[in-house]
Amino acid sequence: MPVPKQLAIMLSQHIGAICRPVVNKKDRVTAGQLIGSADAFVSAPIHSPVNGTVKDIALCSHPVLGRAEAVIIESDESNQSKQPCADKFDGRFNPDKFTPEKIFNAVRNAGIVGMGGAGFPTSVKIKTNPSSPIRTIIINGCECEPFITCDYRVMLEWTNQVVAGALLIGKALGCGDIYIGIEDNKPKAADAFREAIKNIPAAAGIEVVVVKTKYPQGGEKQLIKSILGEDVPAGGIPPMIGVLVSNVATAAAIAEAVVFDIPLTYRPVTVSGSGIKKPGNFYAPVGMAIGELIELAGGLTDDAAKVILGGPMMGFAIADLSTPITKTSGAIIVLTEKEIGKAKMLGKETACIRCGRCIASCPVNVNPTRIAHAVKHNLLEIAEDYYMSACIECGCCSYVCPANIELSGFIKTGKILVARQKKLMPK
Amino acid sequence: MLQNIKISPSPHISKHYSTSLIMLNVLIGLLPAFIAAVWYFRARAVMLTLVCVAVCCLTEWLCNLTRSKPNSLGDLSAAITGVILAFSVPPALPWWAAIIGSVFAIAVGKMVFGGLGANVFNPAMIGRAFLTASFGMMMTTWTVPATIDKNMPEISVKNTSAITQATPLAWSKQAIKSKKIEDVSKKVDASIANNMLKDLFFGQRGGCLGETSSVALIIGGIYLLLTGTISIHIPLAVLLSAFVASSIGYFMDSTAYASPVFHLMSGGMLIGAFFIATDPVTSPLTKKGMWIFGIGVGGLTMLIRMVGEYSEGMMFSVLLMNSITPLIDKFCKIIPAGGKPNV
Ligand code: SF4
Ligand code: SF4
Repeated sequence: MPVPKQLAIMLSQHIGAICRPVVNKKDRVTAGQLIGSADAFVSAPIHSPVNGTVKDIALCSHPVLGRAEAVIIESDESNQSKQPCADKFDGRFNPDKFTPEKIFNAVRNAGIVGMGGAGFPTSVKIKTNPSSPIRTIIINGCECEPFITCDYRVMLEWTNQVVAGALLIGKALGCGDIYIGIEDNKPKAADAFREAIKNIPAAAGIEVVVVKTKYPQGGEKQLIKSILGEDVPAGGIPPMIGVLVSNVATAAAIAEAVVFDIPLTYRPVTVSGSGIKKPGNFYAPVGMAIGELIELAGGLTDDAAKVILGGPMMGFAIADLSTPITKTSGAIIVLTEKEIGKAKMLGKETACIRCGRCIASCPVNVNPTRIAHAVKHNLLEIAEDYYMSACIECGCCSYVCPANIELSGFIKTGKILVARQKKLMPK
Repeated sequence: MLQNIKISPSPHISKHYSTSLIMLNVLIGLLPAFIAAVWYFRARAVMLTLVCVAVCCLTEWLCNLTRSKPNSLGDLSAAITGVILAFSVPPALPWWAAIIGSVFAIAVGKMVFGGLGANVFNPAMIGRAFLTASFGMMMTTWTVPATIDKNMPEISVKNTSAITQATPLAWSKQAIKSKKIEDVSKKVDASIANNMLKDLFFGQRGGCLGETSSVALIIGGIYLLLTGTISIHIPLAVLLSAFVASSIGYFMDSTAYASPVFHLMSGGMLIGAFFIATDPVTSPLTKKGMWIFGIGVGGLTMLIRMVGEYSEGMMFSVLLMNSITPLIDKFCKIIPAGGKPNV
């Protein structure tokens, strides 16, 4: 893959504090050099993926925030595309060579965040907290959404590296109870992991668990339920019940960072959907424009109707193809009108027929139609009364609604309105 | 290229399932019963169904027009109301009564509430209740199927004594009533009703237009279940509770009370369980609520049939349960996975 001429690396890549740029316009940078430092605890630094010069620090289209500051880097001729280092991991890997402090620092300095979508800084997750110790670690090999296959490729091709990452997380937290959850439509991945665990003596305690293929199996709460049979408190997070869930790509990045001190600047990205001529997976630098990745995948077909960063269920529709990918962008999906559905294309909403399909589809068992109705009429107390905060925003309810009501859209809006009311969020 | 790109909130795909498609499936599910109705009641079945559907659609169109609302015929719910209303009136009902019933069903049963989704009661049942209240005689005059007597007589206001046949349910009511009769020669035994099972199954009997043939309704009901148009909860709850209630009567006194199988196949039980009580708009949202609703419909129907004055009870029990659906929804509030969030 050719190195893109220009990259725009967002200063806000993840949940938590925004990075402070530490380079200036016209500075020369080398691949792996720190360009944005994280001062807050809940944050992660960012690095340049390439050798080049800083062209500007300016506002760019951000997939989620609309517009946000980014460090724009022009790459030079000396660049070579970064290669994954999966083949450097083998049976001799031993996590005991690293101390928990070393692991924490390496992860922190490499700027690793959850690569499955949420983007929570990983260093925060692997810091031991005596008041709520982690007793179980789950490596999430369930693709979060339909169409996305990059995690599958990671599992097949970087198997040893993922296992190494899992062991390092275990080491950092002093926890040996490790599961790898894989959906039952990917038996090859499960076999690959079983093989890898056999070959790595240190990994003997890891258990591969095959779970049912369904959306949203890749949601951490759903995966915990499937593997451990336990419920995370509604509106809560897994550490509350002593569980840590990490995506496979994140585990791989941890291994790379700890063993080789390589910061997170490249990530696997799926470019797929019927609107793409040659769908595929790419190992792409953070900051690459979505449009360039689409070109690499053969470009858009004539009937392409919608470009989505992330999966079709939870991803963000993109209007500007110069928007760069971030550390959390696992996929670019381009849908055609046929896939979207005609009613959805037109955005035509009809009356709720009270069929209850949305309720039946909700993985966390809330009442989407009532919540959405309340939000529509600005009755936020009623919405909260129906446990709006428990919603995981998976989009299942909107997906099944025959009246084509944007239920999850209304619920998300409702959550933002409540956060503003409580002054947790600026207007 | 970029002009064509659409943006909207996620999710970006949908189940390709729409209200119209659900309603179309209901119409397809009603088709076997329609065929049976045409077989047994010939031209009258076609006439009544056409009149009811046409008038229901016209009424909805006019209501929308006068209130300058968009035309909503496309969702096909008016057509369903028409078919179900036609199916739940006697085959001999004059056309003008069908028109009045249809107008009332849509205008009062649905549009005054604000149209599809906002109505509290099942519109077809509102229309039928209105007809029962206004033209009680015609609504309980049953002609014999054309497969028994070719010249199905037309009834009119003047001629209500045309050749008629008591419905199986009326026989069963007789049996219940004769419990109190001393004179043995006048006693009616419930076995009369129980011997009609074959006719009940295929539909050769007196009764409302679309509810005589059990087998046709069961085929339609299975179609609805297989296509996911309805969920199993309400039909199962209705039929199970009716089965249990009628079994109790049967085992207490089998000469007075007809068998449970008889009750499940007679009157509006099957059309009610599969097509009327399952109307999404007027039934509860949650599974638990659906169970309560279904048990209420089945139980009340049997209560009316065995204890009450009427021989048939489906219409009243559906309307009654419709009226408490908001209450059921209120009490069946679902708790999210992992318990209530502590906000
Ligand atoms: S988006 Fe809808 S289906 Fe998903 S958790 Fe929220 S309410 Fe439930
Ligand atoms: S799925 Fe849609 S139509 Fe059905 S109850 Fe929910 S909001 Fe209403």
